[in-house]
Amino acid sequence: MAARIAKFIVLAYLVAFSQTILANLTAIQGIVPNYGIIIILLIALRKEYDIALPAIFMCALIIDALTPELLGVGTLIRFGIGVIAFQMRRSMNIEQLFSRLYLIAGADLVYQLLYQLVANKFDISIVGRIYWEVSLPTLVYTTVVGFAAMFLLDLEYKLEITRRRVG
Amino acid sequence: MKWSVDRLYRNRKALLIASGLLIPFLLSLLLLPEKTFIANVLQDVFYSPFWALSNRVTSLLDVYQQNVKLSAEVTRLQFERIGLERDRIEDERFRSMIDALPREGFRFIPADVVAYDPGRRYSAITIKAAEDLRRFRAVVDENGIVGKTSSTTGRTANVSMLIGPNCHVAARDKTTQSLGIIKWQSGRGLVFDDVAVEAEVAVGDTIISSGMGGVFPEGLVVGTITGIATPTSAFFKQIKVAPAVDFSSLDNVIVMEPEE
Repeated sequence: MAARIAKFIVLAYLVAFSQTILANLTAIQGIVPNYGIIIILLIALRKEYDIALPAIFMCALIIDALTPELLGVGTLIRFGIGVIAFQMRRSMNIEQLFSRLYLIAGADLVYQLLYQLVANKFDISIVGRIYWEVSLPTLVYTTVVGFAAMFLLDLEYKLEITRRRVG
Repeated sequence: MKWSVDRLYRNRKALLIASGLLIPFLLSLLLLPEKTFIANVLQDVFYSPFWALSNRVTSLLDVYQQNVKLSAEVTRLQFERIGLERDRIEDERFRSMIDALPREGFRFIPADVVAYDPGRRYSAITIKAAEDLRRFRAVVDENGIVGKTSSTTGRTANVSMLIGPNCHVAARDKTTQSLGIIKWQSGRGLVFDDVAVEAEVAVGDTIISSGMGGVFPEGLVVGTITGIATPTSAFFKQIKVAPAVDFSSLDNVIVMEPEE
C-alpha cells in the first residue's frame, strides 16, 4: 500500500514536471506537446483499472490546477478520454504501435476541441482560429512525442521479456 | 450493510468511473474563488518546487547570457583600447615631429606610410593623408628629412626617399655653414657632395637643409658626417653621411605644405 502511494506521489510530481520544466525545454515556437494526454494514455494502456482510473483522475486534476477558472472541466475531459482509452484497449487490438498513434492523435484532437469549445464559450469562430494556429501544431507535436514515448517503452518491455527468457 | 459494501466492491470499477466523472463536474460548478483556492493548494504542493527550480535555472541562464555579452564587450573594448593606444602613440609621434620642425610659413599634414613602392623597394614609399597632397613637398619625421613627394593622386602620394637617386637636398654643415648637396650615390651611399676641399668640416658634424632649391625649408636635419676623404687632385671633398632617419621603420610622416 505504501509503495503504491509512493508511486502515486512520484507520478503526481512527474506530471507537474512535465507541465513546467519539460514543457519549457521542449517548446518549439511556443508549441508544447500535450504531455497530460500522453501520460494519461500511457497509464490507460499499461495499468489495470484499479490503478489506472485513480491515477488518471489525479493526473487530470493536477494538470487542471494550472487553469483555476476552468477547474473541473479539463479534469472531466481528460478523465473521460482516459476511460475511453482504457475501454478501447480492452475491446480493440490497441497493442499495435500504429493503433496507438491513431489513439494519441484522436485523443488530443477530441481533447483540444472540447476544451477550446468550453474555454471559449462555444464561439466557433474563435475556436476555429485557435484550433488552426495552436491546436493543430500541438496535435502533430503531441502525436510525435507520444508515439516516440510508447515506442521506447515497448522496446524496453520487449527487451525485458527477452532478458528474462534468456536468463 | 454488509450486502451493500460487497455490492459496491464488486462494482468498484463503475464506482471509480462515476466518481471520476462526478467530482470534476462538481468542481466545475464551484465559484471562481473556491476554484482558485483549490488550484492554489494543488499548485503549492505539486508545482512550486518546479517553478522555483525553473526560476533558478532561468536566472542562471540570464547570468550566462549576460556573461557572454560582457565577454564580447570586453573583447571589443580591448580592441578599442589597442586602437586608442596606437592612436595615442601616433599622436605623440606627430607632436614630437611638429615640435622638432621649423614651422613658420608651413602647414603640417600628417600622413601614414601605407606601402613601399614595389618597383623601387628601397628608395620610394607611398603615403596617405587626410587631405589632398601636392608634388615636390618635403616629407619629414621627428628625426629629419625622409624625402619629397614625387607624384600624387588625391590624398595618396609617392615619396622619393633621401636614400634614392631621385632626391637631392641643398644642405649645409650646421657647425661651419659649409654648403653642399646631399645625394645618393650607388655603391657609396649618402654623400655630402660639392663641398670645396678647403671647407672646414669634421666627422660628427650635423648636416641640415640650407633652404635653397625651394622644396626643403631651412634647418631640417639630414644626417651626420661619418667619413671625410680629400683626394689630392680633386676640387671637392668626398664626405659620407649617415641619414638621421631610420628608413627601415617608417610609419608616420609629416608633409610640409607651404602656406599660401
